[in-house]
Amino acid sequence: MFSKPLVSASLQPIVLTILSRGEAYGYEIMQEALDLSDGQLKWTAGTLYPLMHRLETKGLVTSIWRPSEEGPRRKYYRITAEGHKALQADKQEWIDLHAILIRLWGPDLKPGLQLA
Amino acid sequence: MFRLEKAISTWKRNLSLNRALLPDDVEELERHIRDHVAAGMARGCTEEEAYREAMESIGDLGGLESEYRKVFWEKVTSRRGLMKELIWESTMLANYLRIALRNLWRNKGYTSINVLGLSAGLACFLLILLFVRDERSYDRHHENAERIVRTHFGETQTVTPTAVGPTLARTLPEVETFARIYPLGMYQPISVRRGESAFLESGFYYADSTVFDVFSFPFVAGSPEGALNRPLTMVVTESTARKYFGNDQVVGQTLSVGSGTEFEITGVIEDVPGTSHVQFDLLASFSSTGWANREIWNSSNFYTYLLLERADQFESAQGKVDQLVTEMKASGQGGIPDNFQVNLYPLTDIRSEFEGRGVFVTIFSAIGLLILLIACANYTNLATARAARRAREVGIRKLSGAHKGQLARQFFGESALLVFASLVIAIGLAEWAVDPFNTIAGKAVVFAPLSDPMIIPVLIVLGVVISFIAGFYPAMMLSSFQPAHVLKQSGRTSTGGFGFRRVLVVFQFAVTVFLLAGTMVIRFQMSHMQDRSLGFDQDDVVVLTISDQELRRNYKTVKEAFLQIPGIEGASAVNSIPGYQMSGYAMHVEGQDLSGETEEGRRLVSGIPSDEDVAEVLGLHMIAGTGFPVDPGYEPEPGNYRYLVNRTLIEDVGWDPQSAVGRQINLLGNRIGQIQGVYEDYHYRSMHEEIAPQALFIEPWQFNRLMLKTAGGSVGSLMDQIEATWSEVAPGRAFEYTFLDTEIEALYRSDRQTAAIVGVFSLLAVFIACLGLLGLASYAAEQRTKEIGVRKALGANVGQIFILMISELTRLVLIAALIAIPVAWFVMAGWLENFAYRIDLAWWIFALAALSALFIAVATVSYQSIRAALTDPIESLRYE
Repeated sequence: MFSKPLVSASLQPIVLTILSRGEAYGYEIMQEALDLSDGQLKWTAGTLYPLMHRLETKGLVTSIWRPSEEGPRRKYYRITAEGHKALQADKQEWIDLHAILIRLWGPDLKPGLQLA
Repeated sequence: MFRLEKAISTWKRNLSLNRALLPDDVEELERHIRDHVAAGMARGCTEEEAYREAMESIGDLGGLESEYRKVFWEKVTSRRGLMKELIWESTMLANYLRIALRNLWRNKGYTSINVLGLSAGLACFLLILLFVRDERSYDRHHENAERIVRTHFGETQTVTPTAVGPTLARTLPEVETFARIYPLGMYQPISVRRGESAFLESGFYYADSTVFDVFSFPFVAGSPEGALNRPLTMVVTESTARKYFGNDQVVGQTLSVGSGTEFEITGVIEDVPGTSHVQFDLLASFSSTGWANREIWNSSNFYTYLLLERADQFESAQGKVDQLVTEMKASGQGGIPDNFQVNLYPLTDIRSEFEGRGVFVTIFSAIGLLILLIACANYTNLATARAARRAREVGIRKLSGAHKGQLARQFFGESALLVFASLVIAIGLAEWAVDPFNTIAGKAVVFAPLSDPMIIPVLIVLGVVISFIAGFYPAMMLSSFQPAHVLKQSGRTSTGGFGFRRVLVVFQFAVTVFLLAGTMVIRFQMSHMQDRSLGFDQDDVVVLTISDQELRRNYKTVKEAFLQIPGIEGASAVNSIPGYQMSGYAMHVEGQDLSGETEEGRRLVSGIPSDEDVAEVLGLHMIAGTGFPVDPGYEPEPGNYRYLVNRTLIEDVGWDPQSAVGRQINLLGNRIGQIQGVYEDYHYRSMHEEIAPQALFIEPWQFNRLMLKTAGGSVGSLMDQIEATWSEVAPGRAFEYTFLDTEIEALYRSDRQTAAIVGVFSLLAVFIACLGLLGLASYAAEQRTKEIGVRKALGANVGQIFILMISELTRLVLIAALIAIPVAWFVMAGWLENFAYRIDLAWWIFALAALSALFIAVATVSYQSIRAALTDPIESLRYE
C-alpha cells in the first residue's frame, strides 16, 4: 500500500492513462488500477468519483451515460485532447522526479541504504 | 436472509438525503456497487459477502461525503443548479433567523442586557466619530490646505512682524506667495456703521490682497481677483452683509469704520466655516493701513501665511528660514531678540497640534473604542456563560447531521441579529443625544444618518465587524462541542470558556478603573484651578469697550460720568482685561543699558497699558510702594513713565520689593520711567500658562476696555443706567458689555468640556460594564445553586456564602486595577503637563478609583449573590 499523499498525487496520471486506452466506467477504472498494481492501488469510490468530477470540470475528460443490458445505465468517461496534454505533462513530471530519486539512490539500491 | 435489492435501496435512500451528492452521483455509485457485487459473485462469493466487499470499496460515508463536498460547488455551477442551491441556502438562512429570534425572545433578560449595552456603546461611538470627523476637518476646506504654513515667532507667538512675509517670499524660492492678516478686531472691537445700524465688530480684520490666492473663501458676489487691491476696500461675509444691508445689492456700497472712514465693499464671501482656525466677518485691504509699506521687525501683530510651491518643501523651507534668521541676528538687522526664532507651522496642524485639540481627539477616540469593546465583551461573556445551556441543543443538531460550519453560521447569525438590532436603536439614541452632546462638547455636529454619505457605510462595516468580534469566540466554542460529550452530561456543568470570561471581565474593569481615575484627575484639576486664587477680584465687574480715539482721549470724563451712577464703586480703563493680557514688550532696566540700544539685559515682559485706578478696581494686593499717583495733569512721555510691576518681574531682575520702588525701567518704544509700586502676582492669562514678569503703565491711546466695579447684587436696573450714560458719553456707538467673571470662565471652556465629556462617557462605560456583570452574576448564581444548597445544609451562613460569591470578582477587579493604574498614571501625568498650575498625582486618587470600581462591581452582583445565599437549601436540593 502507498501512503495517502502519494496515492492522491498519482491518481490523475493513472486514471488518464487508463482512459487513454479507451473509454471506461468508474468500476472498470478502479478494477484496472487494482489489477495493474497487483492489488496495491486500492481506491475507494469516495476518492475516484469526486476526482472524475474534478477532471470533468477541468475539461480533461468527458462523460456519457450509456444504457446497459444487465441493469441500470452506466456513466462512461473518455479522455479529451486537453486530457492527453495534461497526461503528457504529468508523465514528464513523474519521469523527471523518478530520475532524480534514482540519481540520489542509484539504480540498484533500495531506499534507506546510504551510498558509501 | 440478506436481500440485495433491499440493502441497495436503503443505502440509496440514505445517500439521496445527503446534500453533497446529486442524484446522478448516487446513480453512478449504485451502478458501481452492482458491478462490484456481480464481479464478486462471479468469483463465487455469496450475495451478502459481495455486497460487503462493494460497500468497502465505496469507503466510509464521512470520507465519501467530504470528498464529494469538495467538488460540489464546481458541479452545481456547471450544472446550472446554482439557483436551487441558493434557494436552499436562503431557506436555511430564514431558519437560522427564526431560531435566533426564538432564542433571543426566550431569554429576554439576556437579550435586553446585550441590546442595551451594545446600543449605548454604539451610540457613543457614533457621536464620538462625528466629533472626531469635525475636529479633523479643521482648515482642510482650502484647496491649498496642504501647502499653507503659518509663521510663528518662537514657540508660542502666532503673530509676527510685517517684515516676515515679504522677506521670506523674496528670499525663499519655495514660497509661492504670502498673505498677512492683521486681526485688529481681535485686539480691540471696531465700530462699524451704516446709517442707523452700528455694531462693534471683533471680526474686523485687514488682509493682503493675496489672501484669496492662499486661502479658498468662496465668493457669492464680486470676484477674488483684485478684491482687496485698492486702499479702503473690503470683503464681507454673507451674514455680515445681511446684517447691514438686508437683502440689498452689497458690492459697491460702503460701510463707515471707526471714526468715519468709508470702505467700499468689493465682494461678499460665504461665512467663514466654523472649522477654520481664523474667524473674521469683515476683511479690509491691508493697503488701507499704515503698515502696508513698512517692513518692520519690532512689532508683532500680524498673522503671516506662506503658500509653498509644494507640500513637501516644508522641511527645506524651515531650514532656510533658520539660516536667514541666524544671519539677521548676527548682522543685527531687524532687532530680533536673541532667543527668538521664526517657525513654520503647517495650517492643517494648527487645530490639532498647536491648539492642542489633537489630545482631545485621541482621548475621545480611545474612549469610544473602549466603550465599544466593553459592549462586545459583554456579548461574548454572556454568550459563553450560556453555552452550557445550549450544549444539548448543539449535540442534538450535530447528531441530526449539522456541520460545525452550519452551527457556527447560526451563532454568528445570532450575534449579527443582535448587533444590527442594537445599531438601529443606537441611531435613535444618537439622534436624541446629539443636541445635549453638542451643548457639552461646544460643537455643532449634525447627525443625519440618511443624508450623510459616511454614516450608512460606517454603520454597516461597524455592524459586521462587531458581530464578528463579539460572536467569534462563542460561535467557535459552541459549534465545536462534541455531541457524545455534552449529551452524556446533565448540561449543567460549565462547558469551558471560563478562563476567557475572566480575561474579559478583567479587561472591562481595567478600562473602568482607568476611566474612573482619569475622570477624577480631571475633576480635581478643574476644581484646583477654580479654587486657586486668581490674585484679583473678578466678581461684579462690568466690561465696556472704548476702542476709538475719542473715547480713549476722554477716558477720564467717561469714567467720571459712570462714577456718578450710584452702585458703581470704581472704574478703570485698560488695554485688555485679566485673562487676556497678551501684549508683550522687550524691557531694559537701569544698570543694564536702560536706553535699550543694545541687547544687554533685554527681557520679554507682559506690558499692559492701564489707568491710575487699575489696582483698586481689580483689588490687586500691593506689596511695596503705592498705586499710580493721582496727578490730574499727568501725560506719559519719554522719561516720565509710571510703572506698577508684579513680584515675578522684580524677582526676575533680582531686586527686592522695597528697593525696586523708584528704580527705572524702559519698555521698548522709548518708555523710560519709574516703578511706583509692586503688586502680588495675579493670573493675567489662563492658568495653563505660568505667571511671567508683568508691568502696567499709563498710556491712554492704547486703552480698549473700561472696567466698572459695581456694588454687586442685582445688576438689572444698573445696566439700564449704564446704557443711558453710555449713549450720552459715546453717542452713536453700539452698547455692548460683558462681565469680567464671564470672560474668565470662557478661558476654561474647553477644559470644562473635556471634563464633562470624559465624565459622561466614563459613566456610560462603567454602566455598560456593570450590565454585563449583572448578567454574569445571575448565571453564576444559577449554576452554583446546588453548591450553595449543599454548603448551607452543611452549616454555612449567609455572610459566608455572600463572601464566597464575591471573592472571585474581587480578585478580578484587583487584578484589573493593577493593570489599569500604571496606564492611567502615565496618561494623566501627560495630560497635566498642559497646565502650569497642576495638582500632584497622589496615590490615593488611583486607590479611590480602584475602590470605587470594586464597590460598583460588588454592588452590581450583590443582589444576585444575596438572593442565592438566602435560598432555602430544601428548594435547591429537592430534585437531586
